[in-house]
Amino acid sequence: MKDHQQITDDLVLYAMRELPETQAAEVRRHLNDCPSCRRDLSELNSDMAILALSSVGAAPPQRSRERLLNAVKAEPRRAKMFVMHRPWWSFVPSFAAVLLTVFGLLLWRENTGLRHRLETSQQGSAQHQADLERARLVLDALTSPQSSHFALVATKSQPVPEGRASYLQTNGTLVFTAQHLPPLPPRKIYQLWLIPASGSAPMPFGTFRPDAHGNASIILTNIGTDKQVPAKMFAVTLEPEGGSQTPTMPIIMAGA
Amino acid sequence: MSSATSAKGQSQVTDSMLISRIRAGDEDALALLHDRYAQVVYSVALRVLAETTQAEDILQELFLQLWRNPQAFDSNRGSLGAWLAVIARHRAIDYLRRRRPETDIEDVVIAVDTRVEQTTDRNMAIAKIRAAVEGLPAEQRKPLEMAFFEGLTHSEISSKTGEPLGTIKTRIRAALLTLRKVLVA
Repeated sequence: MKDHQQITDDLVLYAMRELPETQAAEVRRHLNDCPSCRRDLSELNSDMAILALSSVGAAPPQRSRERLLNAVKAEPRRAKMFVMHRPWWSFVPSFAAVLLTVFGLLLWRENTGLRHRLETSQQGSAQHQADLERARLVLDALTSPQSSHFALVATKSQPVPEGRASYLQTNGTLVFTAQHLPPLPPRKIYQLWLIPASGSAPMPFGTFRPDAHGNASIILTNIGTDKQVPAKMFAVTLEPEGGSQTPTMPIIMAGA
Repeated sequence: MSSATSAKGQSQVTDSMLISRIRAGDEDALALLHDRYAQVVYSVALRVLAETTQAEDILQELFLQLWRNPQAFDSNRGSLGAWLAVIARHRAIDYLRRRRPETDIEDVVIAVDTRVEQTTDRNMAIAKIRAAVEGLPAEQRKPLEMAFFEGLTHSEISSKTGEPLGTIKTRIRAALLTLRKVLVA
């Protein structure tokens, strides 16, 4: 792609019709957007005219006029138009029609743009809805009491408590699921803890009771900003009913 | 009405008026424009082609095109005479290069108002231009005429004259600028 200076250098060649078509097309594109080059070109065309006029001298043969008029007579007849001077106000309807046409075109263009934006927005919204629906189905599968949960372990081994925590600090969301939890002793409850990466004190992240099959889950959204800290690990302890502010040993499960 | 009076009356009709009449299908208006500018078109084409039959063909073709499409000329684009001179040159070069006419007649805009409607004005202007061209240094005039009237590309001129391509470009541009200054002075 040539820059402005290169196009300027080529203008004489363009005016003299010396440029190959590909380069001439490039100059034409540039001229569409460059008033300065358009002005230069029109001056160059004037130079061409001056130069051409310097060769004026020989008169054409007398027959050329007759030849032209005969050729014109052989042309298909044109509908004659009446050319007359009209008062200025007679142009008002035409002018108004042109204005209306331009205005209509502008409205049509704006309408097309809006429709396009609406379609894009609708497509985005539909995608958003689909994503939400999928997330809801996943959550249902994880948390619904009607869900069946299966733990696959090596054969001939006893299932041990295990849990899985998915924590997204940036939007304050936690999904925790656990399996094979032993039944709770009387007046006791399981409690989940976040162990901060900073090394500060563990933060309580909710209490839970396992169902008859030893399964449990916690889903937290909109966790307060005071708790949205980088996690080093999560842990589960057994606490008195109502939960604790500090974990009670021993740790039942922990995972980094 | 005497013929002198008639000729005077015709000379007062501007090119724009004649173009308007051609748009309305007035063949006499085309004949008047032919009388006014046939010599310009023909002699420019003849200078390039050096062949009278082909020059006459260009003349015929150009005026027929003006008849078919008179709106192609817009008086805002410059004077009709200057415009026709440029188009005639481009058409003749197309002939010379044996290529399909590629000059879009609506594509040429003339900046300087080179008034050549009146024969007297035209003769004076042409004499002035010719003197300016002849007054150019030979090293500028020669490549300019080779490019403009012989249709040689800058590269062809360079190999023909043995001068570097850049020098040819510079001299042609300088020659055009000199002519411009002479005419607007």
